Amino acid sequence: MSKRKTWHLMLAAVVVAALLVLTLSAGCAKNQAAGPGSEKPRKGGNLTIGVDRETDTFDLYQMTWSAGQAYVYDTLITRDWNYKYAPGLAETWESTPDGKTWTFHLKKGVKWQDGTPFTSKDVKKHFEVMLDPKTAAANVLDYTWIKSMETPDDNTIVFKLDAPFPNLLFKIGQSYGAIQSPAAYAKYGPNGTKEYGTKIAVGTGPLKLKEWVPGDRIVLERNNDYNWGAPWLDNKGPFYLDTLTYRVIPDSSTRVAELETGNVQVLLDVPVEHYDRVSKMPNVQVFKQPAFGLGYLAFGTANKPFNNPKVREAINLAIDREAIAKAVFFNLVQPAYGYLPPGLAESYEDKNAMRYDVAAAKKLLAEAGYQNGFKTTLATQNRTEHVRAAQALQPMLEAIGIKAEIVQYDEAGYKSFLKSGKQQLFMRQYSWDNADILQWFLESRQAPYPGHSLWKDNKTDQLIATAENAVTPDIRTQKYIELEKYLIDQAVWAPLWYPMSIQAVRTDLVGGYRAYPGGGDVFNDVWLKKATK
Amino acid sequence: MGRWKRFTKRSSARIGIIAVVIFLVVAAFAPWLAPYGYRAQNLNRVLEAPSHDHLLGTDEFGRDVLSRIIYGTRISLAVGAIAVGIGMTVGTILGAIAGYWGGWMSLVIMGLVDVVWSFPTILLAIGFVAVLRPGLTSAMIALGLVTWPSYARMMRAQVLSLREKEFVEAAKAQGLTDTRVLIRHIGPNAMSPIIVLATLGMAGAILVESALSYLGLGAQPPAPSWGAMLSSGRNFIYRAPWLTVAPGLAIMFVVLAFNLCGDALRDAFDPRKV
Amino acid sequence: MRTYLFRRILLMIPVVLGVTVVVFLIIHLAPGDPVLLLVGERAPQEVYDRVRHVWGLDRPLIMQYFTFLGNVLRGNLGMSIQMRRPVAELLAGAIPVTMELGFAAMAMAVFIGVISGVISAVRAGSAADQVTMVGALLGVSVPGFWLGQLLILLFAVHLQWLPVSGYGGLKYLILPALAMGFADSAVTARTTRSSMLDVIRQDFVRTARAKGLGERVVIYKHALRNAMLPVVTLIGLDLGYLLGGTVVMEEVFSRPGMGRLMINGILSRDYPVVQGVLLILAISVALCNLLADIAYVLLDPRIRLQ
Repeated sequence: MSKRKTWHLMLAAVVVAALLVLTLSAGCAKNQAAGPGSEKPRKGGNLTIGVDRETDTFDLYQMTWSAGQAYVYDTLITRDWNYKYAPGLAETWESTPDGKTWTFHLKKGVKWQDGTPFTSKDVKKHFEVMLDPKTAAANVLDYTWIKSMETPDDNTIVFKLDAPFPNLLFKIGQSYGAIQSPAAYAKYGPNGTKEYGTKIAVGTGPLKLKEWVPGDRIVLERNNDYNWGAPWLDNKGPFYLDTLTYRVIPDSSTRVAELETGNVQVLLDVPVEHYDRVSKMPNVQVFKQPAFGLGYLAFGTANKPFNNPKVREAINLAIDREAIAKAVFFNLVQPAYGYLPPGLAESYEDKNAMRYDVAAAKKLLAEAGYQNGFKTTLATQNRTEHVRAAQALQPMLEAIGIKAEIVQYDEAGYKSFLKSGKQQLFMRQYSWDNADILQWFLESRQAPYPGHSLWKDNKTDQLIATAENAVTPDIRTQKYIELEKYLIDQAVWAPLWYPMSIQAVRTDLVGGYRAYPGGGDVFNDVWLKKATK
Repeated sequence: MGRWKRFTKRSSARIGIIAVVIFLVVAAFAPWLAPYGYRAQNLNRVLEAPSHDHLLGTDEFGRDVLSRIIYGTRISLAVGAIAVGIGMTVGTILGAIAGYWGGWMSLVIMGLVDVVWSFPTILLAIGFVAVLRPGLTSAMIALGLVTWPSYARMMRAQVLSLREKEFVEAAKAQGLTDTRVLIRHIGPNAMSPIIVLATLGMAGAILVESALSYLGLGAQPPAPSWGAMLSSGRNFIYRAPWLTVAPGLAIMFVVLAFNLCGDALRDAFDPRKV
Repeated sequence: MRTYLFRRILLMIPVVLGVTVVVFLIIHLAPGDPVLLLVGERAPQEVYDRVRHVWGLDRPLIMQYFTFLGNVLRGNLGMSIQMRRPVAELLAGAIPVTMELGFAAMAMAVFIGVISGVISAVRAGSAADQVTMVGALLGVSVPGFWLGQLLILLFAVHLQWLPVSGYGGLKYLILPALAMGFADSAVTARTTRSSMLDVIRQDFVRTARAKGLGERVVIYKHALRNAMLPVVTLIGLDLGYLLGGTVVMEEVFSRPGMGRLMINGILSRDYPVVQGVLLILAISVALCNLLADIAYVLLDPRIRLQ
């Protein structure tokens, strides 16, 4: 009997010890000697990027999630290393003083990936198809400012507008504003073989869609004809890389392990939980910089008690933003005291309105008639960092008497929940590099979806309208700052953090990678130091 | 009671019982045993390694892992017991009916079993929870609803082979009613694989709950479900391995305890054993 | 036997129909809207309405069900809403990935499980028995995704013997099959042992022993054959478990199989994908159960077909 017992215990102990050693030893990685690599760009090879989810389609009309499209398609104008507008497919552009006519002069000698010449008529046709209601383009509202287009010659495209629109350059330069081949779309799109976007994509970019294994990988291959790269690139010609592969690895620990073993050479989104580990890997360089975005606690402002500005203000004062940045994000975000990230010219912060002041918060809540607090729900999508942020918020809210029950949703469920208009408190994050995000989420006509905050307010609408139709970008900026001051006064949101972009590159294998503003990626100048697995 | 004696005679059973009792005591007296509250955060002391203050370290909110493990005992035991209870009760009864009487009832029941069994457990559970509303209660009900077919199939197979046995024929010859034969004679003899299944089912229930919690469909934070702890700790497997070691081992030990008990119970219930 | 088979296959039809109804109801009752995901947050209401109409999601649920059923009968599983490809094409890519892992894990589970189960039953109480049973106990209690991650850490990151994740050949198969097969071989071992112990104590084994047959013949010819009954049932039942297990393992090891396809389908409410995948799963599980039942009959002629 005792022999049997001893056996059990001994075995259990051995197995437990083995598991412990295995887990704890995870902390100390095996060091790898950096291999010798040439420092001059070298042609050839495949570079693999590990991503958590794959893009939805290469059809620009339906695309909502961009990864890799920027290499298949070119835009008329680009953003350089300082995020300034620079030539793309258009060499130069000008507008009339009234801001209602914009002329773009296109580069000569540009060819589509199917070999046909690229002309201004293609640009016109592309936008016409996008604006056609039958196309049901997801991003059509970004281009409704186009009233008509003219093509005086093959290399000139003229946009006519009804009203000035200073944000036009942004819209033309964003990834959704890239141009895809109207001829290919007609042949393979919804009215053709329906393979456009998944099997076939024709752009003018430096990489072509070679293979897409759903759920596994997207392989892009070099376009050898390419020689019209933007002026700010070192390499304006064809890619050094033979192929660029996006591999889908949903589990973040697995993604990090693949980087460590070198099967994946680049991660474009290192989760904050793994930053510590990745930054200590000997052959890995980490690129860390502010991203364009905002994480915030939002209110269903049409629903009780959040229709009371004092309640919203109280919650704004009850939150220790520094503590959240530190505890939830290990200081890999910036505490947010405004509605737009600091990288944008329109950014405006008010640290006093969002200071951590529990006493003042309690007082405001009492003034609003909730001296004993209230019960509510705090909804969040089940993304780990948002769930963690919600858990950190819970005791802060409880400190002023608000008992918030956390409810998690998956992505599809969350969107439907927000559309239902029943939301109380909910977590949100946007990633966007333009002030018009405020128009998107807070203009009255957007409620309840995507205006989830259910914010319907005349003054907001007026401020947005004057800003968006201002004659110059400077006036637009001023008007937006005015709007932000008003929103802060009304405590429409509780801004929490500005996210950061964290990218990791195996510099023993990869040369020529540079950080691009906002956490974008540019692989035109990138080469492989040696063959990858 | 002969069975009880046979049961407790084995040392593995004694270890199992003691362990289960310990878990039950821990669950019952969690507020007195835990050094801290399960939701008491300290954002200045996050992800600390095990120390004198925090024997199992702290999690990403500076909460005491030991305290959360102790409170978590309640959730895991409840999830296991209720899910298995629902699944076993429904499955055993339906399986016995199908096996003993056969006919169209068997067809319908086994058809239902086949339908439910055609889905991977976790996916059907996800589906049920999605419809019911994410939370612990939904998870327990869903787990019960997806696990009953294994009991039903096993029970039916047992009853099918037992009902031909002499002692059953003898009981029938004595003029006992079918229900009585089923409960008194076939039931006890059919139970041993059911109990083996049920003990494994406890493990399964706790593990599936962890997967559901991972997807945000199980216990909602800050509830200290071991599954949820394991899932959230997974993100810190490199920098704070104790976050996954502690709940992982807790799950392992509680399952081990039930398995030891189940094995011994099986032997004790087995009337053929001398 | 032939009529039995015919009847069983006929019986599969209501089961599969039942599956389609259950799947259809669950996926459509779960809150969430595939169109919201499809068009993104920047699409206006008109675009949303048009897309919804194109996919036929504005029609009554019952109509949608019968359209789906009609298409299936014509061999058309429909188009994925989110992935914009025929579901049949997605399945053709995913099925081999999952089958490969499922069979590898099951082969491992049966091989290790039966052998160790028999050994520990024959030598009940011995050290070998203890080792096996403690191993089996731990095997069923380790969460699969945790084990998978530990295996990655040890064999892929530290030792660098095997790739971390991915698909394409034996070396990608070993770790996930190990992580999945471990728990399953533990279940098989326990069932084999328990069933063997039952059988060994039965009269005919005693008779065989009394007749002076060698222990080896008694164990392997008489006992094992009879002890395999519950094991075969279990293996048949296990298929569902294994396919469920691939869901987790395909996530941890990034394998583009049916589990990933289905999880993504569920999360994005991609109704045609979920319906298509589960339909195929249900049919294959039903077929496997049928095979298990046939094996059951072959192993135990005493069971009459009914």
